Amino acid sequence: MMGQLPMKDAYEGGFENPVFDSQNTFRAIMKAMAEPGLIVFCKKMTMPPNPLLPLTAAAFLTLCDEDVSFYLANESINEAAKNWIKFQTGARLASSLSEAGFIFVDSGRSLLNLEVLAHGTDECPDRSATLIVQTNGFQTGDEFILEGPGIKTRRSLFIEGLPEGFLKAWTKNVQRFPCGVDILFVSSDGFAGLPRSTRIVKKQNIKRNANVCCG
Amino acid sequence: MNDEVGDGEVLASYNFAYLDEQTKRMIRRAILKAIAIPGYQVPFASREMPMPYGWGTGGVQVTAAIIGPEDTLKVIDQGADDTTNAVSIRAFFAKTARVKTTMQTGKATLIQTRHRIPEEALTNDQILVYQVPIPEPLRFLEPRETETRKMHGLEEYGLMHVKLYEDIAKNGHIATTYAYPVKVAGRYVMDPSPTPKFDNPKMNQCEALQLFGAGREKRIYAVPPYTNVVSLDFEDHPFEVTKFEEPCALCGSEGAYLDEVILDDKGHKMFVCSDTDYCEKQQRKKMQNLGEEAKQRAFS
Ligand SMILES: [Zn+2]
Repeated sequence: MMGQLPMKDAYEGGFENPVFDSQNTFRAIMKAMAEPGLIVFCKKMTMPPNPLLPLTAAAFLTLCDEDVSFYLANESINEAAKNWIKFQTGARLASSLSEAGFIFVDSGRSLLNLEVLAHGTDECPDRSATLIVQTNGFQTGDEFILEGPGIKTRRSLFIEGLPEGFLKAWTKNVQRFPCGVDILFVSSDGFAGLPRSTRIVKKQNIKRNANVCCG
Repeated sequence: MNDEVGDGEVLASYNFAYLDEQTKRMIRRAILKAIAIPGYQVPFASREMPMPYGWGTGGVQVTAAIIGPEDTLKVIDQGADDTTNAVSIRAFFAKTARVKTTMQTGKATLIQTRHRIPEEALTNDQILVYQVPIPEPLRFLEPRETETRKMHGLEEYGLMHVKLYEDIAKNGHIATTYAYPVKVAGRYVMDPSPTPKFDNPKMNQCEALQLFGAGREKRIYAVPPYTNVVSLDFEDHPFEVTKFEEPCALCGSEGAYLDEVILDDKGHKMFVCSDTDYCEKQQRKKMQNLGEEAKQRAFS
């Protein structure tokens, strides 16, 4: 009929305990951003509609409200996910990708055109976009060797499903520092941060288990 | 919202950790930006807190936005846990967030501080929150915010070096001892204010996440763990840490930051650790060692 079902979904599946669940989620996200490439586990506290993962939904609930805008980068995105974020957070849907404060990306496919996103100015580099990118996990895929603030020497991060040109796109993003965008990778059970200050010094295709720490 | 507590007492209707959720989200977003751009001052919409500016409202807001029921909080002012400022902030969070508190550096997950960094090395599981009165290291050179913003944007820090060099010309050494400017991750000049320069080396490659909150000036900035924090200096006048001529009069430590304590009106004074938790620990160690020695002597 008139699409009542998606609307029903929109007001279900949020945090049961908004105050404590968002605090818990934030600490995990903060740890992930402060120590780039570290996989920070977080328990599932939401039940969002597809294709949003529970931790993706938790990140939106924790960081978004009427004061920010969001955008869903993939064309394949369904109305249910859009309505869910809108209803649950109160965030505005941005009119274009370049205006959005938070951008949802389902698997890394559309992760190449970072320049078109808000990346701040030399004087206000914080006026920039944060990408929330879903991956199939941090166990396999391309291995990225990371360096920068938050990393003692070097850290290896496996990310599944990133497009071929990602390394080049990220290198450009880093060169723009202090301007740039930040990425929060999300899997079914953890977060990994890639802030603009993190350099990818190497990419390799060795299949191996990723190092997993922290909780 | 009213919460039933186990003993039947109904909690007053304030928010967890005082701040409302929208304010926490705004501060949390600012913190993430601050972490992504180490040393850069992120503007935020500072809220009125139930304590006057100068009492650490910036640090309190940062702590309130991140603290959770599983945290153990330590609050220090000038290194001590028992000063008025530290006591009232600790009581504030014990009441509004019902968190455990501690005076022991090693037991805290979250430490809010004014003026000092604990002597005991911080670990990767800890977060240090600084109360900052003046976040802008270039402010005394340039009063206009629009201009200091430009200077940071263009990485134009020449004036800062000129100021330090004037110190040398006047005094033969760099006379700045507090709020000694540092460069973070090779990019932003940052004010560690108002900690003594003695503590600057502790910020470098620190294992703990360091967050800075300035309430009146509405700025948040951050240093992620394992980040280079370098005190500005010159090749011919390298940065030097304050050295104390005598050990702590209470615990005998050498290499800790000491405060002068006046003993009487005849001008007698002594120097003791400013970090009270550290000093007590060293005193206990000293007593234990004396006890061991006495035992050994008795049985030999
Ligand atoms: Zn002492």
